[in-house]
Amino acid sequence: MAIDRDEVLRIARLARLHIDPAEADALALDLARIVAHIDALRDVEIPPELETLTYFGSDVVRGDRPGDCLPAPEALANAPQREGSHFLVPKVVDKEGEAGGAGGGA
Amino acid sequence: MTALHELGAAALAAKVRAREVTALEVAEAHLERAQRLNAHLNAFLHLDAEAVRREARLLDRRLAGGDEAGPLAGVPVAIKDNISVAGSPTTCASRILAPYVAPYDADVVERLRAAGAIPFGKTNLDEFAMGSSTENSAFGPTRNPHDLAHTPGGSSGGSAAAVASGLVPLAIGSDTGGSIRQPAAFCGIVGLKPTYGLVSRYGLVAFASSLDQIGPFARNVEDAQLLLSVLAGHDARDATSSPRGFAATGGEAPTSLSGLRIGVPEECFAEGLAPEVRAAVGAAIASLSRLGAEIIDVKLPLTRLGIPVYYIVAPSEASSNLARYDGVRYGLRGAGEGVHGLFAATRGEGFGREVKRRILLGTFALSSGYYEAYYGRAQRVRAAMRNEVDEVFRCVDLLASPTTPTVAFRLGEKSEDPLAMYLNDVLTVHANLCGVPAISLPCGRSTHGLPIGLHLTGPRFGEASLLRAARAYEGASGEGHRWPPEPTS
Repeated sequence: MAIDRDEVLRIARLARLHIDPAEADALALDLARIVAHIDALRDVEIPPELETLTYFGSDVVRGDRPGDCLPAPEALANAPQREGSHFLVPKVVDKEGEAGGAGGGA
Repeated sequence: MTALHELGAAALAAKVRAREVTALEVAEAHLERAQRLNAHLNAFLHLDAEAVRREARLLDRRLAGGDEAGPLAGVPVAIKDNISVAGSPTTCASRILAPYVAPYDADVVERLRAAGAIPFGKTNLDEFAMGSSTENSAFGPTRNPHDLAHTPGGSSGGSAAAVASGLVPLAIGSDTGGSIRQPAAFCGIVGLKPTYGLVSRYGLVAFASSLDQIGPFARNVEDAQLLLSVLAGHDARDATSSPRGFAATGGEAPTSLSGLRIGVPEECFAEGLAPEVRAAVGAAIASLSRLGAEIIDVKLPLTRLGIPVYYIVAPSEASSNLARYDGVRYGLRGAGEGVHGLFAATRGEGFGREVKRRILLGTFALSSGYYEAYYGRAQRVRAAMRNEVDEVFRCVDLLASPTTPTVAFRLGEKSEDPLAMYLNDVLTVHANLCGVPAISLPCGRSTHGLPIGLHLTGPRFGEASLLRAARAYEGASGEGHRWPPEPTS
C-alpha cells in the first residue's frame, strides 16, 4: 500500500487532526516506510481455525448500576471554557441539521 | 553510615516502622537529592516538595498515634506522569494535557497511600508513553544517569532514571510494548511488567488498552517484589482486573533453582544483537544453569512478527483512545472554526510528531477497506503468538533472553528515524501481545560502562516463579544496581 501526501491528509481528516502541508510530506515518508515493514503480515499463512479467534474470549462489561461519579464542579474544573454548569463549545449544528463547521467532513 | 537515599525500600520501611527515622527525614533526604540532580536528568516533570512534606508529616503523626505502619511506610515512590494523583498535574508529557490537574487518584496510588508510601512527584515520559527514549516528551528529554549523552530508554525513562540515581527508591511506570523493561535495562535497575490484569489501570491514561500494564521499578528484585505486592489486586473499576492478587515472599534469596526449566528462544539471539549484549546474557544464562536450572533451547518463530503486529494493534487502539482529546472537557483548546475545526486545531497544536504518526497509522489500519488486511489480520496473528508461547510454557517454566538488542543509544541517534526506534522494542513487545509477565534485571555492562538487561518471561500469573529466579540470579551473580557518577557543574 503506497502512502502519499494526499492519503495522509485523507487519514488526518478522519482523525480530526490538523496537519500542515509541509508536515504531511514528512509524515507520508515515515508512514510509507512503516507500512512497508508491517506489510510483512500479509504474507503470513494463518491456520483456518484461527480465523475467528480473537485475543479476548469475550467482552467484559460492567453491570449497568448507578454509582458515584465526579461532582459537576470537579468535572468542570479542567474545562478550557465553561458556562454555568456546562462545557462551552462552538455551535454544533450550522443550518438545516447539517453538523460540522470548517474542518469537518470525514 | 549508609545515607538514606542509598537504602532500598524494604530497608527504609523497616527503619520507619522501628522509629529509627521519621518519614519526614526520609522525604527530606530524597527531596534534597531530587532537587539537586533533576537539573541534570530531567527525570521529574512535577515535584511539589510541600505536598511531599505534608504527606510525610501526616504519616509520622499517624504512626505516633499508634496506627499500624504499612509495608511501604514512609517510602517515597515516584509516579509516571500518565498516572493520576489527585490534585497533581497529569500531563502525559504532552502539550495537549499541559493544563490538566487530575481530580482523583489512580487505583495504584490509592494502594500506595494505604501501604504508607509517599507519592513523590511525577516523572517524565515519551508523550502518551509512545516512544523508547523519552525524547518524545514535550518538556525535554530525560538523560541516562550513567552517561548524560545517552537516553534512559522509554517510555518510562523518568521513573527509571530517578530510581537509578537514588532520587527515589521506587517508582511506578506503565509498559505497553516494553516501556518499563527497556528503560530498566538501559538504566541498570529492575523493572517488571506484570501479567495483563494483575494491576488495575483505573487512573492510568489509556494508550493501547489490550496491552497497557502498570508495574514497578526498583534497585533490587526484593523491592520490586514488595512494590508489586502493594500494586496488585482486584479493582472493579477496571473491567480487565483479575481477582488474583500477588503476595510477596520474604526471606533470603534462593540459592538453588534446581527443578526449574528455563527456555532460551533462538529467535531472541538473532542478527542485530550487539556482541556485548549477547555475551552478557549468555553469561547470565550460564549462571542460571550453575544455580541448578535446566536450560532448554526453544523455538518461538512468530516472535519475528512481533513488531508488525504491535505497530498495528497499538496505534489502532491509540487512535481510538486519543479521540477524547478534543479541546472540550479538559486540556488545551486550539482556535478552529466550528466544532470540527476546534477538534482538528486542538489536536494539531497539542500532539507532537510521534503521537500524530501513531494516530494516523492507527486510523489508517482501522479505516474502511484496510481494517481486515491490517487490524483483523494482526489480531489473528497475535492469537497465534499467544497459542505458540502457551505451548512452549508446557515444556519450560520461564524464558530467558536479552531485554534490548543494544545498550542505551545516544540522544538524537534514532529520534529522526521512527522505524529504527520501533525496532528497538523487538524483544519486549512479545510479552505485551501475549499478556504474560516479564522482568528486566541488570546482568553486566558494556565496555563503555552502560548497563545490560537480562529479560525473564513467565506464563500468565507466573510472577512468583519469575521473581524467585530473578532473586536467585541477582544473589549468585553479584550483578545488580551500581551507582552512576554524580553529575557535576
